[in-house]
Amino acid sequence: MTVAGGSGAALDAEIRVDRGAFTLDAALRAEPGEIVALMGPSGAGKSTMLGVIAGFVALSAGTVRLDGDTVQDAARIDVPPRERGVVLLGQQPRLFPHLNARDNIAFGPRSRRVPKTRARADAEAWLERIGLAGLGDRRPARLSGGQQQRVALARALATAPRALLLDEPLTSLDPATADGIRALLRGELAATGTTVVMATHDAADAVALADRLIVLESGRVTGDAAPSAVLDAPATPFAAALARTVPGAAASWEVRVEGTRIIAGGVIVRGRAADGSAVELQMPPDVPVLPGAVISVRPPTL
Amino acid sequence: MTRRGYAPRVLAIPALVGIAFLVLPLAALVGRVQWATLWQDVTSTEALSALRLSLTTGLLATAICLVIGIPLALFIARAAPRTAALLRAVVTVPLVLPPMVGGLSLLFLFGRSGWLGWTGWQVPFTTVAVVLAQIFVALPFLVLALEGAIRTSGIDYERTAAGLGAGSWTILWRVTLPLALPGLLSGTVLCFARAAGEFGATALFAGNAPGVTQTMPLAIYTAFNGAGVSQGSAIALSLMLLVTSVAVLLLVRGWRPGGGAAVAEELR
Repeated sequence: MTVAGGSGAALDAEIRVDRGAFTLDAALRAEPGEIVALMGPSGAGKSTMLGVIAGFVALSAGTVRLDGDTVQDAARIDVPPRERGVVLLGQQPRLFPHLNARDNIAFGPRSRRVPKTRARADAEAWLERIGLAGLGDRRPARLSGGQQQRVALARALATAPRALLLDEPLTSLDPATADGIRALLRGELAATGTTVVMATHDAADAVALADRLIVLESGRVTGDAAPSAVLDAPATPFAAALARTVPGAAASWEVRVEGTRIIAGGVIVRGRAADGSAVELQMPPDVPVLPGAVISVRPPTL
Repeated sequence: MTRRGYAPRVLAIPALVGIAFLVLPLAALVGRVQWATLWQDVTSTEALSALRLSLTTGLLATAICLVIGIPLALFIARAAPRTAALLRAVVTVPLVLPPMVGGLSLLFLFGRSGWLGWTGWQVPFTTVAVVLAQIFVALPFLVLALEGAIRTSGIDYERTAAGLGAGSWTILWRVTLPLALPGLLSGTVLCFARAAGEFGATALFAGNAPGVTQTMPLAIYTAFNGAGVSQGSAIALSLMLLVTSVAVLLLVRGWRPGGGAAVAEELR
Protein backbone atom coordinates (compact mmCIF):
# COMPACT_ATOMS: atom_id res chain seq x y z
CA MET A 1 0.00 0.00 0.00
CA THR A 2 1.01 3.61 -0.31
CA VAL A 3 1.97 4.97 3.05
CA ALA A 4 1.64 8.73 3.03
CA GLY A 5 5.25 9.04 4.12
CA GLY A 6 6.43 12.55 4.87
CA SER A 7 3.71 14.22 2.86
CA GLY A 8 3.39 17.08 5.34
CA ALA A 9 4.15 20.56 4.07
CA ALA A 10 5.53 23.57 5.93
CA LEU A 11 2.59 25.74 6.93
CA ASP A 12 2.97 29.48 7.36
CA ALA A 13 -0.20 31.44 8.01
CA GLU A 14 -0.66 35.11 8.88
CA ILE A 15 -4.38 35.33 9.44
CA ARG A 16 -6.58 38.36 9.86
CA VAL A 17 -10.33 38.05 9.65
CA ASP A 18 -12.60 41.00 10.53
CA ARG A 19 -16.11 39.97 11.38
CA GLY A 20 -18.10 42.80 12.94
CA ALA A 21 -16.82 43.41 16.45
CA PHE A 22 -14.62 40.32 16.35
CA THR A 23 -11.14 40.41 14.89
CA LEU A 24 -8.96 37.36 14.47
CA ASP A 25 -5.34 38.39 14.08
CA ALA A 26 -2.98 35.48 14.57
CA ALA A 27 0.07 33.82 13.07
CA LEU A 28 0.55 30.09 12.87
CA ARG A 29 3.65 28.29 11.64
CA ALA A 30 4.29 24.57 11.48
CA GLU A 31 7.33 22.70 10.22
CA PRO A 32 6.74 19.73 7.90
CA GLY A 33 5.45 16.91 10.06
CA GLU A 34 5.01 19.10 13.12
CA ILE A 35 1.90 18.72 15.29
CA VAL A 36 0.60 22.03 16.59
CA ALA A 37 -2.18 22.17 19.16
CA LEU A 38 -4.50 25.18 19.15
CA MET A 39 -6.28 25.97 22.41
CA GLY A 40 -8.49 28.80 23.54
CA PRO A 41 -11.87 29.59 25.06
CA SER A 42 -14.97 29.06 22.94
CA GLY A 43 -15.31 31.88 20.43
CA ALA A 44 -11.58 32.65 20.46
CA GLY A 45 -11.37 32.00 16.70
CA LYS A 46 -9.93 28.48 16.55
CA SER A 47 -12.45 27.13 14.07
CA THR A 48 -12.25 30.28 11.96
CA MET A 49 -8.49 29.86 11.81
CA LEU A 50 -8.81 26.24 10.66
CA GLY A 51 -11.51 27.33 8.16
CA VAL A 52 -9.11 29.85 6.62
CA ILE A 53 -6.31 27.30 6.29
CA ALA A 54 -8.73 24.78 4.75
CA GLY A 55 -9.93 27.41 2.26
CA PHE A 56 -13.54 27.77 3.46
CA VAL A 57 -13.20 31.21 5.08
CA ALA A 58 -11.94 34.35 3.30
CA LEU A 59 -9.08 36.45 4.70
CA SER A 60 -9.41 40.16 5.44
CA ALA A 61 -5.60 40.43 5.39
CA GLY A 62 -2.62 38.13 5.59
CA THR A 63 -1.46 35.03 3.73
CA VAL A 64 -1.55 31.28 3.97
CA ARG A 65 1.52 29.52 2.56
CA LEU A 66 2.17 25.83 2.08
CA ASP A 67 5.83 24.99 1.41
CA GLY A 68 6.32 28.63 0.47
CA ASP A 69 3.49 28.73 -2.11
CA THR A 70 0.82 31.30 -1.35
CA VAL A 71 -2.52 29.49 -1.45
CA GLN A 72 -4.59 32.35 -0.08
CA ASP A 73 -4.26 36.04 0.64
CA ALA A 74 -6.57 39.02 0.94
CA ALA A 75 -6.13 39.78 -2.77
CA ARG A 76 -7.75 36.38 -3.32
CA ILE A 77 -4.95 34.21 -4.59
CA ASP A 78 -7.31 31.49 -3.68
CA VAL A 79 -6.38 27.89 -4.33
CA PRO A 80 -9.73 26.09 -4.00
CA PRO A 81 -10.03 23.54 -1.20
CA ARG A 82 -9.83 20.57 -3.54
CA GLU A 83 -6.43 21.61 -4.91
CA ARG A 84 -4.93 22.57 -1.56
CA GLY A 85 -4.32 19.14 -0.14
CA VAL A 86 -5.57 20.32 3.24
CA VAL A 87 -8.13 18.09 4.94
CA LEU A 88 -10.30 19.32 7.81
CA LEU A 89 -11.62 16.70 10.20
CA GLY A 90 -14.15 18.00 12.68
CA GLN A 91 -16.09 16.82 15.68
CA GLN A 92 -18.57 15.10 13.35
CA PRO A 93 -16.82 12.46 11.23
CA ARG A 94 -19.04 13.40 8.24
CA LEU A 95 -18.65 10.03 6.55
CA PHE A 96 -20.70 9.89 3.35
CA PRO A 97 -23.81 8.01 4.54
CA HIS A 98 -24.46 6.36 1.17
CA LEU A 99 -20.96 4.83 0.88
CA ASN A 100 -19.58 1.96 2.94
CA ALA A 101 -16.45 2.36 5.06
CA ARG A 102 -14.12 1.13 2.32
CA ASP A 103 -15.53 3.46 -0.34
CA ASN A 104 -15.42 6.37 2.11
CA ILE A 105 -11.68 5.82 2.58
CA ALA A 106 -11.19 5.35 -1.16
CA PHE A 107 -13.16 8.54 -1.97
CA GLY A 108 -10.16 10.92 -1.94
CA PRO A 109 -7.85 8.76 -4.07
CA ARG A 110 -10.75 7.95 -6.46
CA SER A 111 -11.40 11.69 -6.88
CA ARG A 112 -7.75 12.01 -7.89
CA ARG A 113 -8.21 9.32 -10.52
CA VAL A 114 -6.47 6.49 -8.72
CA PRO A 115 -7.80 3.28 -10.38
CA LYS A 116 -10.71 1.74 -8.50
CA THR A 117 -9.05 -1.58 -7.64
CA ARG A 118 -5.94 0.08 -6.25
CA ALA A 119 -7.93 2.66 -4.27
CA ARG A 120 -10.03 -0.16 -2.77
CA ALA A 121 -6.96 -2.26 -1.93
CA ASP A 122 -5.34 0.74 -0.23
CA ALA A 123 -8.59 1.39 1.66
CA GLU A 124 -8.59 -2.23 2.81
CA ALA A 125 -5.05 -1.78 4.16
CA TRP A 126 -6.14 1.38 5.96
CA LEU A 127 -9.05 -0.48 7.55
CA GLU A 128 -6.54 -2.92 8.99
CA ARG A 129 -4.29 -0.13 10.25
CA ILE A 130 -7.16 1.53 12.11
CA GLY A 131 -8.29 -1.77 13.62
CA LEU A 132 -11.45 -2.19 11.54
CA ALA A 133 -10.40 -5.06 9.25
CA GLY A 134 -13.46 -6.85 7.90
CA LEU A 135 -15.86 -3.92 8.43
CA GLY A 136 -15.27 -2.37 5.00
CA ASP A 137 -18.74 -3.26 3.75
CA ARG A 138 -20.53 -1.47 6.57
CA ARG A 139 -22.31 1.79 5.99
CA PRO A 140 -21.51 4.55 8.54
CA ALA A 141 -24.93 4.10 10.19
CA ARG A 142 -23.80 0.63 11.27
CA LEU A 143 -20.52 1.82 12.82
CA SER A 144 -20.13 3.22 16.34
CA GLY A 145 -19.10 6.85 16.86
CA GLY A 146 -15.51 5.85 17.58
CA GLN A 147 -15.35 3.55 14.55
CA GLN A 148 -16.73 6.36 12.38
CA GLN A 149 -14.05 8.74 13.64
CA ARG A 150 -11.38 6.11 12.85
CA VAL A 151 -12.69 5.76 9.30
CA ALA A 152 -12.79 9.55 8.93
CA LEU A 153 -9.15 9.75 10.03
CA ALA A 154 -8.13 7.03 7.57
CA ARG A 155 -10.12 8.76 4.82
CA ALA A 156 -8.22 11.99 5.53
CA LEU A 157 -4.78 10.34 5.73
CA ALA A 158 -5.43 8.24 2.59
CA THR A 159 -5.22 11.46 0.55
CA ALA A 160 -1.68 12.06 1.88
CA PRO A 161 -2.66 15.62 2.88
CA ARG A 162 -0.11 18.43 2.93
CA ALA A 163 -1.75 19.46 6.19
CA LEU A 164 -4.38 17.82 8.38
CA LEU A 165 -6.61 20.08 10.45
CA LEU A 166 -8.37 18.49 13.41
CA ASP A 167 -11.19 20.48 15.01
CA GLU A 168 -11.88 18.84 18.37
CA PRO A 169 -12.03 15.36 16.87
CA LEU A 170 -12.41 13.66 20.27
CA THR A 171 -14.96 15.95 21.91
CA SER A 172 -18.11 14.00 21.07
CA LEU A 173 -16.68 10.62 22.13
CA ASP A 174 -16.82 8.91 25.51
CA PRO A 175 -13.49 8.88 27.42
CA ALA A 176 -12.59 5.24 26.68
CA THR A 177 -13.26 5.62 22.95
CA ALA A 178 -11.39 8.93 22.91
CA ASP A 179 -8.36 7.20 24.46
CA GLY A 180 -8.35 4.66 21.64
CA ILE A 181 -8.52 7.36 18.96
CA ARG A 182 -5.81 9.37 20.76
CA ALA A 183 -3.47 6.38 20.64
CA LEU A 184 -4.33 5.84 16.96
CA LEU A 185 -3.66 9.52 16.20
CA ARG A 186 -0.31 9.40 17.98
CA GLY A 187 0.78 6.35 15.99
CA GLU A 188 -0.53 7.31 12.57
CA LEU A 189 0.43 10.99 12.65
CA ALA A 190 4.01 10.03 13.51
CA ALA A 191 4.09 7.22 10.94
CA THR A 192 2.78 9.39 8.10
CA GLY A 193 4.76 12.53 8.94
CA THR A 194 1.67 14.65 8.45
CA THR A 195 1.69 18.32 9.36
CA VAL A 196 -1.17 18.77 11.82
CA VAL A 197 -3.02 21.67 13.41
CA MET A 198 -5.33 20.40 16.11
CA ALA A 199 -7.89 22.58 17.89
CA THR A 200 -8.76 21.04 21.23
CA HIS A 201 -10.31 21.83 24.60
CA ASP A 202 -8.27 19.16 26.33
CA ALA A 203 -4.81 20.17 27.55
CA ALA A 204 -3.99 16.48 27.99
CA ASP A 205 -4.33 16.07 24.20
CA ALA A 206 -1.92 18.91 23.63
CA VAL A 207 0.62 17.41 26.02
CA ALA A 208 0.20 13.88 24.67
CA LEU A 209 0.15 14.61 20.94
CA ALA A 210 1.51 18.04 20.09
CA ASP A 211 5.02 19.34 19.50
CA ARG A 212 3.85 22.89 20.09
CA LEU A 213 0.90 24.61 21.73
CA ILE A 214 -0.59 27.88 20.54
CA VAL A 215 -3.01 29.62 22.89
CA LEU A 216 -5.59 31.80 21.17
CA GLU A 217 -7.71 34.24 23.18
CA SER A 218 -10.20 36.74 21.71
CA GLY A 219 -8.56 36.39 18.32
CA ARG A 220 -4.95 36.92 19.51
CA VAL A 221 -2.12 34.52 20.20
CA THR A 222 -1.22 34.67 23.90
CA GLY A 223 1.15 31.73 23.99
CA ASP A 224 3.23 29.79 21.46
CA ALA A 225 5.79 27.26 22.72
CA ALA A 226 6.22 23.60 23.61
CA PRO A 227 3.06 22.46 25.46
CA SER A 228 4.95 21.89 28.71
CA ALA A 229 6.54 25.34 28.50
CA VAL A 230 3.18 27.05 27.94
CA LEU A 231 1.53 25.15 30.77
CA ASP A 232 4.43 25.36 33.25
CA ALA A 233 4.64 29.13 32.99
CA PRO A 234 1.09 30.21 32.18
CA ALA A 235 1.06 33.72 30.77
CA THR A 236 -2.68 34.31 31.10
CA PRO A 237 -5.47 33.24 33.46
CA PHE A 238 -6.82 30.97 30.68
CA ALA A 239 -3.47 29.20 30.27
CA ALA A 240 -3.24 28.85 34.04
CA ALA A 241 -6.70 27.30 34.15
CA LEU A 242 -5.62 24.90 31.39
CA ALA A 243 -2.50 23.97 33.32
CA ARG A 244 -4.55 22.92 36.31
CA THR A 245 -6.46 20.41 34.18
CA VAL A 246 -3.27 18.52 33.37
CA PRO A 247 -2.09 16.12 36.09
CA GLY A 248 1.55 16.76 36.91
CA ALA A 249 1.68 20.20 35.34
CA ALA A 250 2.16 23.31 37.45
CA ALA A 251 -0.94 22.86 39.56
CA SER A 252 0.44 25.12 42.25
CA TRP A 253 3.86 26.09 43.51
CA GLU A 254 5.18 26.87 46.93
CA VAL A 255 7.38 29.70 48.18
CA ARG A 256 9.43 29.48 51.40
CA VAL A 257 9.54 32.97 52.89
CA GLU A 258 13.04 34.38 53.59
CA GLY A 259 12.30 37.99 54.43
CA THR A 260 9.80 40.80 54.12
CA ARG A 261 9.91 44.49 53.28
CA ILE A 262 7.07 46.91 53.89
CA ILE A 263 6.13 49.28 51.08
CA ALA A 264 3.27 51.71 50.61
CA GLY A 265 0.08 49.67 50.29
CA GLY A 266 1.52 46.23 51.04
CA VAL A 267 4.32 43.87 51.92
CA ILE A 268 6.99 42.54 49.55
CA VAL A 269 7.87 38.96 50.44
CA ARG A 270 11.24 37.57 49.36
CA GLY A 271 11.44 33.81 49.14
CA ARG A 272 12.53 30.73 47.23
CA ALA A 273 10.45 28.37 45.11
CA ALA A 274 10.87 24.57 45.25
CA ASP A 275 13.43 24.62 42.44
CA GLY A 276 15.60 27.16 44.33
CA SER A 277 14.80 30.24 42.25
CA ALA A 278 14.36 33.59 43.99
CA VAL A 279 10.82 34.96 44.05
CA GLU A 280 9.25 38.20 45.15
CA LEU A 281 5.55 38.36 45.95
CA GLN A 282 3.51 41.43 46.74
CA MET A 283 1.02 40.80 49.55
CA PRO A 284 -1.77 42.91 51.11
CA PRO A 285 -0.53 44.93 54.13
CA ASP A 286 -2.53 43.10 56.79
CA VAL A 287 -1.39 39.54 56.04
CA PRO A 288 1.05 38.31 58.71
CA VAL A 289 4.07 36.72 57.04
CA LEU A 290 7.03 35.39 59.00
CA PRO A 291 10.34 34.06 57.68
CA GLY A 292 10.24 30.27 57.36
CA ALA A 293 6.52 30.19 56.48
CA VAL A 294 5.40 28.52 53.23
CA ILE A 295 3.07 30.30 50.84
CA SER A 296 1.17 28.21 48.28
CA VAL A 297 0.48 29.98 44.99
CA ARG A 298 -2.30 28.73 42.77
CA PRO A 299 -3.32 30.06 39.37
CA PRO A 300 -6.63 31.91 39.62
CA THR A 301 -9.85 30.13 38.81
CA LEU A 302 -11.70 31.31 35.72
CA MET B 1 -48.74 -2.24 23.54
CA THR B 2 -46.92 1.06 23.85
CA ARG B 3 -49.05 4.08 23.21
CA ARG B 4 -48.17 5.74 19.90
CA GLY B 5 -48.35 9.45 20.60
CA TYR B 6 -51.02 11.40 22.45
CA ALA B 7 -53.48 12.57 19.77
CA PRO B 8 -57.09 12.71 21.10
CA ARG B 9 -58.75 9.41 20.21
CA VAL B 10 -61.94 11.02 18.98
CA LEU B 11 -59.95 12.43 16.04
CA ALA B 12 -60.07 8.91 14.61
CA ILE B 13 -63.58 9.66 13.32
CA PRO B 14 -62.77 12.58 10.97
CA ALA B 15 -59.60 10.71 10.00
CA LEU B 16 -61.69 7.73 8.91
CA VAL B 17 -64.06 10.02 7.00
CA GLY B 18 -61.01 11.43 5.23
CA ILE B 19 -59.63 8.07 4.15
CA ALA B 20 -63.10 6.86 3.12
CA PHE B 21 -63.57 9.95 0.98
CA LEU B 22 -60.36 9.12 -0.87
CA VAL B 23 -60.92 5.39 -1.26
CA LEU B 24 -64.70 5.04 -1.84
CA PRO B 25 -64.88 6.88 -5.18
CA LEU B 26 -62.11 4.67 -6.57
CA ALA B 27 -63.95 1.59 -5.26
CA ALA B 28 -67.12 2.82 -6.97
CA LEU B 29 -65.17 3.14 -10.22
CA VAL B 30 -63.87 -0.39 -9.95
CA GLY B 31 -67.44 -1.52 -9.13
CA ARG B 32 -68.69 -0.15 -12.46
CA VAL B 33 -66.09 -1.98 -14.55
CA GLN B 34 -67.73 -4.21 -17.16
CA TRP B 35 -65.38 -7.15 -16.81
CA ALA B 36 -66.82 -8.98 -19.83
CA THR B 37 -65.78 -6.29 -22.29
CA LEU B 38 -62.75 -5.03 -20.33
CA TRP B 39 -60.11 -6.70 -22.48
CA GLN B 40 -61.81 -5.55 -25.66
CA ASP B 41 -62.09 -2.00 -24.33
CA VAL B 42 -58.45 -1.63 -23.32
CA THR B 43 -57.09 -3.21 -26.49
CA SER B 44 -59.18 -1.12 -28.87
CA THR B 45 -57.18 0.91 -31.38
CA GLU B 46 -58.14 4.23 -29.77
CA ALA B 47 -57.25 3.02 -26.29
CA LEU B 48 -53.90 1.57 -27.34
CA SER B 49 -52.88 4.64 -29.30
CA ALA B 50 -53.90 6.89 -26.40
CA LEU B 51 -51.89 4.71 -24.03
CA ARG B 52 -48.85 4.74 -26.32
CA LEU B 53 -49.06 8.51 -26.70
CA SER B 54 -49.46 9.06 -22.95
CA LEU B 55 -46.47 6.85 -22.15
CA THR B 56 -44.12 8.34 -24.75
CA THR B 57 -45.05 11.97 -24.10
CA GLY B 58 -45.07 11.42 -20.33
CA LEU B 59 -41.64 9.78 -20.33
CA LEU B 60 -40.20 12.39 -22.69
CA ALA B 61 -41.61 15.22 -20.57
CA THR B 62 -40.18 13.61 -17.42
CA ALA B 63 -36.75 13.24 -19.06
CA ILE B 64 -36.74 16.90 -20.10
CA CYS B 65 -37.92 17.89 -16.62
CA LEU B 66 -34.93 16.02 -15.17
CA VAL B 67 -32.47 17.73 -17.50
CA ILE B 68 -33.68 21.24 -16.67
CA GLY B 69 -35.17 20.56 -13.23
CA ILE B 70 -32.08 19.14 -11.49
CA PRO B 71 -29.96 22.22 -12.29
CA LEU B 72 -32.84 24.52 -11.29
CA ALA B 73 -33.32 22.68 -7.99
CA LEU B 74 -29.55 22.88 -7.29
CA PHE B 75 -29.54 26.58 -8.07
CA ILE B 76 -32.49 27.34 -5.77
CA ALA B 77 -31.16 25.15 -2.95
CA ARG B 78 -27.82 26.98 -2.94
CA ALA B 79 -29.13 30.49 -3.58
CA ALA B 80 -29.26 33.22 -0.92
CA PRO B 81 -32.44 32.93 1.19
CA ARG B 82 -34.30 35.82 -0.49
CA THR B 83 -33.47 34.72 -4.03
CA ALA B 84 -34.41 31.15 -3.11
CA ALA B 85 -37.79 32.22 -1.66
CA LEU B 86 -38.56 34.25 -4.78
CA LEU B 87 -37.59 31.44 -7.16
CA ARG B 88 -39.53 28.90 -5.12
CA ALA B 89 -42.63 31.09 -5.38
CA VAL B 90 -42.17 31.41 -9.16
CA VAL B 91 -41.80 27.63 -9.51
CA THR B 92 -44.92 27.05 -7.40
CA VAL B 93 -47.20 29.20 -9.59
CA PRO B 94 -47.90 26.54 -12.27
CA LEU B 95 -48.63 24.12 -9.41
CA VAL B 96 -51.48 26.20 -7.98
CA LEU B 97 -52.63 27.60 -11.32
CA PRO B 98 -55.68 25.95 -12.97
CA PRO B 99 -54.16 23.92 -15.84
CA MET B 100 -56.58 25.61 -18.28
CA VAL B 101 -54.87 28.94 -17.56
CA GLY B 102 -51.52 27.25 -18.21
CA GLY B 103 -52.76 25.98 -21.58
CA LEU B 104 -54.03 29.42 -22.52
CA SER B 105 -50.69 30.99 -21.53
CA LEU B 106 -48.76 28.47 -23.62
CA LEU B 107 -51.02 29.29 -26.56
CA PHE B 108 -50.21 32.99 -26.23
CA LEU B 109 -46.47 32.24 -26.18
CA PHE B 110 -46.23 29.60 -28.93
CA GLY B 111 -49.42 30.31 -30.95
CA ARG B 112 -49.45 31.84 -34.41
CA SER B 113 -50.30 35.27 -32.98
CA GLY B 114 -48.22 34.66 -29.82
CA TRP B 115 -44.81 36.04 -28.82
CA LEU B 116 -42.96 33.28 -30.66
CA GLY B 117 -45.40 33.26 -33.59
CA TRP B 118 -42.98 35.17 -35.85
CA THR B 119 -40.66 32.14 -35.90
CA GLY B 120 -43.23 30.28 -37.98
CA TRP B 121 -42.81 27.32 -35.66
CA GLN B 122 -46.18 25.54 -35.64
CA VAL B 123 -46.39 24.17 -32.13
CA PRO B 124 -50.06 24.18 -31.01
CA PHE B 125 -52.12 21.09 -31.75
CA THR B 126 -49.04 18.88 -32.31
CA THR B 127 -47.50 16.16 -30.17
CA VAL B 128 -44.76 18.66 -29.24
CA ALA B 129 -47.49 20.82 -27.67
CA VAL B 130 -48.58 17.84 -25.56
CA VAL B 131 -45.04 17.47 -24.20
CA LEU B 132 -44.68 21.22 -23.57
CA ALA B 133 -47.98 21.32 -21.67
CA GLN B 134 -46.89 18.34 -19.59
CA ILE B 135 -43.51 19.94 -18.77
CA PHE B 136 -45.24 23.16 -17.74
CA VAL B 137 -47.47 21.45 -15.19
CA ALA B 138 -45.08 18.69 -14.03
CA LEU B 139 -41.74 20.52 -13.63
CA PRO B 140 -42.69 22.18 -10.30
CA PHE B 141 -43.26 18.77 -8.67
CA LEU B 142 -39.74 17.61 -9.50
CA VAL B 143 -38.03 20.91 -8.65
CA LEU B 144 -39.76 21.43 -5.29
CA ALA B 145 -39.21 17.84 -4.08
CA LEU B 146 -35.56 17.78 -5.14
CA GLU B 147 -34.80 21.29 -3.94
CA GLY B 148 -36.07 20.45 -0.46
CA ALA B 149 -33.93 17.33 -0.31
CA ILE B 150 -30.77 19.13 -1.48
CA ARG B 151 -31.27 22.01 0.93
CA THR B 152 -31.87 19.63 3.83
CA SER B 153 -28.67 17.68 3.24
CA GLY B 154 -26.70 20.94 3.41
CA ILE B 155 -23.20 21.67 2.15
CA ASP B 156 -21.12 20.02 4.88
CA TYR B 157 -20.69 16.78 2.95
CA GLU B 158 -19.84 18.74 -0.20
CA ARG B 159 -17.16 20.64 1.73
CA THR B 160 -15.77 17.39 3.07
CA ALA B 161 -15.62 16.00 -0.47
CA ALA B 162 -13.91 19.16 -1.78
CA GLY B 163 -11.32 18.93 0.99
CA LEU B 164 -10.61 15.35 -0.04
CA GLY B 165 -9.84 16.56 -3.55
CA ALA B 166 -13.13 16.05 -5.41
CA GLY B 167 -14.02 18.44 -8.25
CA SER B 168 -17.47 19.96 -8.61
CA TRP B 169 -18.76 17.31 -11.07
CA THR B 170 -17.51 14.49 -8.86
CA ILE B 171 -19.20 16.12 -5.88
CA LEU B 172 -22.48 16.44 -7.82
CA TRP B 173 -22.56 12.81 -9.01
CA ARG B 174 -21.04 11.08 -6.00
CA VAL B 175 -22.23 13.21 -3.08
CA THR B 176 -24.99 15.76 -3.72
CA LEU B 177 -27.35 13.70 -5.89
CA PRO B 178 -26.92 10.40 -3.98
CA LEU B 179 -27.68 12.24 -0.72
CA ALA B 180 -30.80 13.77 -2.29
CA LEU B 181 -31.82 10.49 -3.95
CA PRO B 182 -35.08 9.99 -1.98
CA GLY B 183 -36.22 13.49 -2.99
CA LEU B 184 -35.12 12.90 -6.57
CA LEU B 185 -37.07 9.62 -6.76
CA SER B 186 -40.30 10.92 -5.26
CA GLY B 187 -40.00 14.09 -7.35
CA THR B 188 -39.56 12.05 -10.54
CA VAL B 189 -42.56 9.84 -9.73
CA LEU B 190 -44.79 12.82 -9.00
CA CYS B 191 -43.52 14.54 -12.13
CA PHE B 192 -44.33 11.56 -14.34
CA ALA B 193 -47.74 11.02 -12.72
CA ARG B 194 -48.67 14.66 -13.22
CA ALA B 195 -47.41 14.63 -16.83
CA ALA B 196 -49.26 11.43 -17.70
CA GLY B 197 -52.48 12.69 -16.12
CA GLU B 198 -52.33 16.17 -17.64
CA PHE B 199 -55.66 17.24 -19.15
CA GLY B 200 -56.57 20.94 -19.01
CA ALA B 201 -53.48 22.54 -20.49
CA THR B 202 -53.25 19.80 -23.13
CA ALA B 203 -56.88 20.22 -24.17
CA LEU B 204 -56.47 23.95 -24.77
CA PHE B 205 -52.94 24.02 -26.16
CA ALA B 206 -52.70 20.69 -27.99
CA GLY B 207 -56.27 19.75 -28.78
CA ASN B 208 -57.80 16.30 -28.94
CA ALA B 209 -56.65 14.65 -32.17
CA PRO B 210 -56.57 10.83 -31.90
CA GLY B 211 -53.04 9.47 -32.33
CA VAL B 212 -51.47 12.95 -32.29
CA THR B 213 -52.56 14.74 -29.13
CA GLN B 214 -55.22 12.50 -27.62
CA THR B 215 -53.59 11.18 -24.45
CA MET B 216 -55.31 8.86 -21.95
CA PRO B 217 -57.09 11.61 -19.96
CA LEU B 218 -58.41 13.15 -23.19
CA ALA B 219 -59.46 9.73 -24.47
CA ILE B 220 -61.35 9.11 -21.22
CA TYR B 221 -63.07 12.48 -21.52
CA THR B 222 -64.00 11.85 -25.15
CA ALA B 223 -65.27 8.34 -24.45
CA PHE B 224 -67.31 9.49 -21.48
CA ASN B 225 -68.94 12.28 -23.48
CA GLY B 226 -70.35 9.51 -25.60
CA ALA B 227 -68.84 10.56 -28.90
CA GLY B 228 -69.67 7.24 -30.46
CA VAL B 229 -67.93 5.25 -27.74
CA SER B 230 -69.51 3.56 -24.75
CA GLN B 231 -68.97 4.65 -21.17
CA GLY B 232 -67.48 1.22 -20.60
CA SER B 233 -64.43 2.27 -22.57
CA ALA B 234 -63.95 5.37 -20.35
CA ILE B 235 -64.18 3.22 -17.26
CA ALA B 236 -61.73 0.66 -18.63
CA LEU B 237 -59.20 3.38 -19.48
CA SER B 238 -59.64 4.95 -16.02
CA LEU B 239 -59.01 1.58 -14.41
CA MET B 240 -55.83 1.26 -16.43
CA LEU B 241 -54.58 4.65 -15.21
CA LEU B 242 -55.48 3.73 -11.64
CA VAL B 243 -53.63 0.41 -11.81
CA THR B 244 -50.62 2.10 -13.41
CA SER B 245 -50.48 4.75 -10.66
CA VAL B 246 -50.60 2.19 -7.86
CA ALA B 247 -47.97 0.07 -9.63
CA VAL B 248 -45.60 3.02 -9.95
CA LEU B 249 -46.01 3.87 -6.27
CA LEU B 250 -45.28 0.28 -5.30
CA LEU B 251 -42.28 0.16 -7.60
CA VAL B 252 -40.67 3.16 -5.98
CA ARG B 253 -40.54 1.66 -2.54
CA GLY B 254 -40.27 4.07 0.33
CA TRP B 255 -42.17 6.79 -1.42
CA ARG B 256 -43.77 9.24 0.98
CA PRO B 257 -44.55 12.93 0.87
CA GLY B 258 -41.53 14.78 2.25
CA GLY B 259 -39.71 11.43 2.20
CA GLY B 260 -36.54 13.14 1.04
CA ALA B 261 -36.00 14.96 4.29
CA ALA B 262 -37.08 12.02 6.45
CA VAL B 263 -34.79 9.54 4.74
CA ALA B 264 -31.84 11.96 4.74
CA GLU B 265 -32.40 12.32 8.48
CA GLU B 266 -32.32 8.54 8.89
CA LEU B 267 -29.12 8.29 6.86
CA ARG B 268 -27.43 10.65 9.26
